[in-house]
Amino acid sequence: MYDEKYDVVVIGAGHAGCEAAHAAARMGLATALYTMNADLIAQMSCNPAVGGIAKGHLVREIDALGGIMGLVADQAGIQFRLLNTSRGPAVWSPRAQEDKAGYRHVMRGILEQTPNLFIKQAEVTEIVFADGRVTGIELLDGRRVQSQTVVLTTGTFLNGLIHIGEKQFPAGRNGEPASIALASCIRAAGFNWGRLKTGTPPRLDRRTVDLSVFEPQYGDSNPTPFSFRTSTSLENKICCYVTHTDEKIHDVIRRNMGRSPLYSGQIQGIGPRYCPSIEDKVVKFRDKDRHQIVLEPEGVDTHEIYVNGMSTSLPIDVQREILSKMKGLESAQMIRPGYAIEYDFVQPTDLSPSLETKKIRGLFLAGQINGTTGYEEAAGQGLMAGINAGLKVTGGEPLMLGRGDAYIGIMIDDLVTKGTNEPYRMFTSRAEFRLNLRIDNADTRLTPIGRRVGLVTDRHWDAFVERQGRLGRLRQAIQETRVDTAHSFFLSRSLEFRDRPGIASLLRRPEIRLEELIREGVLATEVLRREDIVSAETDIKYEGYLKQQDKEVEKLRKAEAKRLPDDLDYSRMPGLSREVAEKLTRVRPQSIAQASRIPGITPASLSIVLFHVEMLRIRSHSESAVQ
Amino acid sequence: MREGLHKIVSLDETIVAISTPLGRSGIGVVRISGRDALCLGKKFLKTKSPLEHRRAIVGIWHDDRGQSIDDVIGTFFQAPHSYTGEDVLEISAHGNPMILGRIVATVCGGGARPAAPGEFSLRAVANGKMDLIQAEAVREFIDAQTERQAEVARRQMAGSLSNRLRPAKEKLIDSIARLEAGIDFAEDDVEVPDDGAIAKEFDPIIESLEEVQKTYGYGRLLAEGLRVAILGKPNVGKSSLFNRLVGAERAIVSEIPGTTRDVLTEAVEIDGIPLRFFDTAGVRETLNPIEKIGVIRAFETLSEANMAVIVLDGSMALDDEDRQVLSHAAGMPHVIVINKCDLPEAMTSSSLNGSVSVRVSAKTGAGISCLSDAIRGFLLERQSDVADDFVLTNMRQNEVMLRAIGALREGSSALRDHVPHEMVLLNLYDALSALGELTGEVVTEDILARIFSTFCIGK
Ligand SMILES: Nc1nc2c(ncn2[C@@H]2O[C@H](COP(=O)(O)OP(=O)(O)OP(=O)(O)O)[C@@H](O)[C@H]2O)c(=O)[nH]1
Ligand SMILES: [Mg+2]
Repeated sequence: MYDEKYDVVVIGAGHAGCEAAHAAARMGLATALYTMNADLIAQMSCNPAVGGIAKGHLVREIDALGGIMGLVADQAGIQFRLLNTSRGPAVWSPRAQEDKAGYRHVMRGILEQTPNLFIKQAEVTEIVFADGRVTGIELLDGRRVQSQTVVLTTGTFLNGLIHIGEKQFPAGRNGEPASIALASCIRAAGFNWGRLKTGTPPRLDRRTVDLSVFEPQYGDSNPTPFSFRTSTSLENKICCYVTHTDEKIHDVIRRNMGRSPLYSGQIQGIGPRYCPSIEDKVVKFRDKDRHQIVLEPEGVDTHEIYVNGMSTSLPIDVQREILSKMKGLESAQMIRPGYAIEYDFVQPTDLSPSLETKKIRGLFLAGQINGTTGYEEAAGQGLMAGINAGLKVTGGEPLMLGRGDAYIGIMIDDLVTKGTNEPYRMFTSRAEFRLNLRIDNADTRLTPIGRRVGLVTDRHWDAFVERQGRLGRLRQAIQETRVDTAHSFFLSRSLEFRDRPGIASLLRRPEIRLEELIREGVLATEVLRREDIVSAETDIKYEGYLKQQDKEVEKLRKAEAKRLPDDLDYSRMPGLSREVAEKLTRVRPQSIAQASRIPGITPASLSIVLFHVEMLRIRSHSESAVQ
Repeated sequence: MREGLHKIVSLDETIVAISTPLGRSGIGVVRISGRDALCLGKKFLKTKSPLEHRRAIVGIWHDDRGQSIDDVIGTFFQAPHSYTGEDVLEISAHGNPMILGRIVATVCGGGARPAAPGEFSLRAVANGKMDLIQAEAVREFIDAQTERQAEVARRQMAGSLSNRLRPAKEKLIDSIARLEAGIDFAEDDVEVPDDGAIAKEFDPIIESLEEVQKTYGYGRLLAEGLRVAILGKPNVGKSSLFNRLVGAERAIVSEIPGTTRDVLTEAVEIDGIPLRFFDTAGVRETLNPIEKIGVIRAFETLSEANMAVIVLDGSMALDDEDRQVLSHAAGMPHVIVINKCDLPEAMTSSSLNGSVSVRVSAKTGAGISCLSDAIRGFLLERQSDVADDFVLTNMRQNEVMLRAIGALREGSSALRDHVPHEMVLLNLYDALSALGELTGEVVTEDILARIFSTFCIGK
């Protein structure tokens, strides 16, 4: 029947698929990664950058768990910036411009060096399942591949339809075929599918652009890597260029609005509000007289430039007219036009928090197919889907990160609890325990978990243990050291003390920074990384807020510990309205905490559910007592 | 945002509620359940012997300033041998709703929270204190209560309270959206005003919340009744006035100074608001031990009253004893009554230093309606705290309001101190979730929607 057999099959080698395949293979499982084009593994279909606010947190977490996105982004990165440093460390987030070709190259290299991982070029046309359980896949060439777990990460390829002005054509990305057969298979399986839309801007030829008129945006002088494992120093090789649109350009857009498929009714899919096309910006924010545009080089060996901020589906001649009105781009040549793409997604409420579909056991979905957008969101889900597919094969309990543990946990919980109606993107404001979920402590939060499931290599683990030791010694020194008040640090700042204060009490003063105390020799330490200092300092400076947050986390953990059995019959629970019962039945929350987050669930209905579950518990107790 | 969490009844806080039906029953029970039950008992219940499992002990319930509230019987039940399976303290007091309410208030002040409907039973079930049949019965009760009550409460609140709070909530969401946009979209050109300017925006929000919270004073009067203490030196006609006001010969009247010794009380209604008059012993320096106790009780009654009626004898000149009494009531709302206006006048109004007074005769009934008007005036004054017909009457709502106000104040001062916004937002979300409890929840999506409709974000 079957031509080949694997433990885990991953369909699609984008950012989700690569993490999924790598994770499963690292766990020791025979893993096949299917892609329609092995030369385009880890292709960055949109902007040439990784990270950004909240997204940088995701990358850090992926790295801490033993994933690979951070390593690749560091190696292929060509400009590095730490964002939001004017605020507290909880919202600092790294971002890097990437060399697109380099990114594909580095990723492919890592995958090829991963034992148990086999890259396969073929089009998958069907997922084979029987009795609600996956048995394998079928390829376009007729071969069948057996596997008890399949991770589906098809990005924008399922029934992908590209729009450029009045023109539309099926494609997965511009120039690549869409997955039509697989899409019909998914629709036929009875998932709640829908259509989403996303867009991308035109790409220009650098030789035809006058960069001298733009304001350059440089990388940090002291780059912050994504990965805790990156030890080589990073180098900024390019810079970006900032400019703005003006009313002249807005006029062009307004004049041609009728030709935008977004406004002619041609596009049905819903696009993200936070990543609007240039035509959306002009229409919805009428009184804004300029919009920011950033020119981002797509690599070091190419002249291609990405026009960030000008995502559009307007016809090519209008795109050209817009560009020609922009200072410095008057004679710019387009290498590729901008376009919008519509694609199928599956409503993620069809998934368990392990990312396994509820309908077909053994089938996991990750990435844009779940209604998200962004490389980092995709990679985070891919990693979790890969881990959980692996655990499914080995018979382990699924790994589910809580909202108090990681951004990854928040993202997945949001998706499976609430579903989504627009492409979902991560924001720090989605994290109710934001102060705890920092980039500097991602390893403390997650590396032990990654180690437990078998993703964290010995070398990675040793480095982790080493850092924890360093942090421990630093914290101890902070608690125990009393300063010499005659030190020039204090004299130069005319700070006077009655007795010798400890470092910890000094740090509670907003104006005193641990970094300075160490730099000026008030506190002697071993060689530290900047983030060691941030970790230790944050814990003291913001202790009050952190404690307040910890109390909330504690409440959450308790509510999470109140598990709701999988087979609860909400429709027969007296006192619940039908609407509430239906919502609970659709989502099947795993805990009372998850139930509380379903929109429209009232406190009263939660009490009823809690009550019911407690009664079931008593019943089973009293029955077991009888026996 | 703390999505959903606030919707879950937390089973590990200490809760309190009046567990007998409110009304004029002879005895009322306040039940406290949870970890702090014993500790709260030790704090507020003064007894001769310490609280022990299952032993009824007589004592006096005090408030947090050490003022006694009522003679009570306290019974402590140690976990797990109680109705809920937790430590439980039951306080039996006089069935006066006012007294029971004040006991609950002291317990809440000590860190407990008012129980949600059916919560004692829920805890009993959660702690395995009920068999199946009992639990089924209780469940029906809770099912009936919760969803229907929630529905009723929601409808009620959807009206006035929500309408009152909505503008403040909207403004708060605006401010939160602005701060969040500044954090999450620092890369886009989002303009965030400086900290001081944002902190200033909170002032009107706090003010409008305080306006609503202030109505609780009046709301409590509505719910619990107005306490009016009648005070004066001996023989001025306090008991006569008391009888007149309550419309019955309740108190002994005699021409002998020092007739009244104990505090007498009687309830009436003015404009639908329950009112309770207290007749007290005449206040003077005395060596008589019994009269002395009477005077002490008179002052206690005064301290627990919402307002005082100070009685003077108009047929005599103002003397030092009168001045003493007047000084005791100076710090609280009061009405000065010049009694015996049927007799020749010896007291000049000018001797009262401009204080407003009412001339009455307890004997003939003259001027009594003016006194009633003065009391009504006091109520009206309280009512003027109430801008429209909305009044906060529920203690729980009041607590939530106070929480919102407190959190906003903290957030505003943190902003002025330039604390990073992601921390200030903890306070603001705290306030928002409190408001959400009163008006209907707010979720992350609402904030994001506000950001995206306010700022042009994204590349
Ligand atoms: N003429 C006249 N006599 C009054 C009036 N009110 C009270 N009296 C008389 O004043 C005397 C004292 O009256 P009470 O009502 O007992 O006075 P009290 O203030 O309660 O006195 P103590 O309880 O002793 O403090 C009695 O003889 C009353 O009849 C009044 O309005 N006019
Ligand atoms: Mg009397």
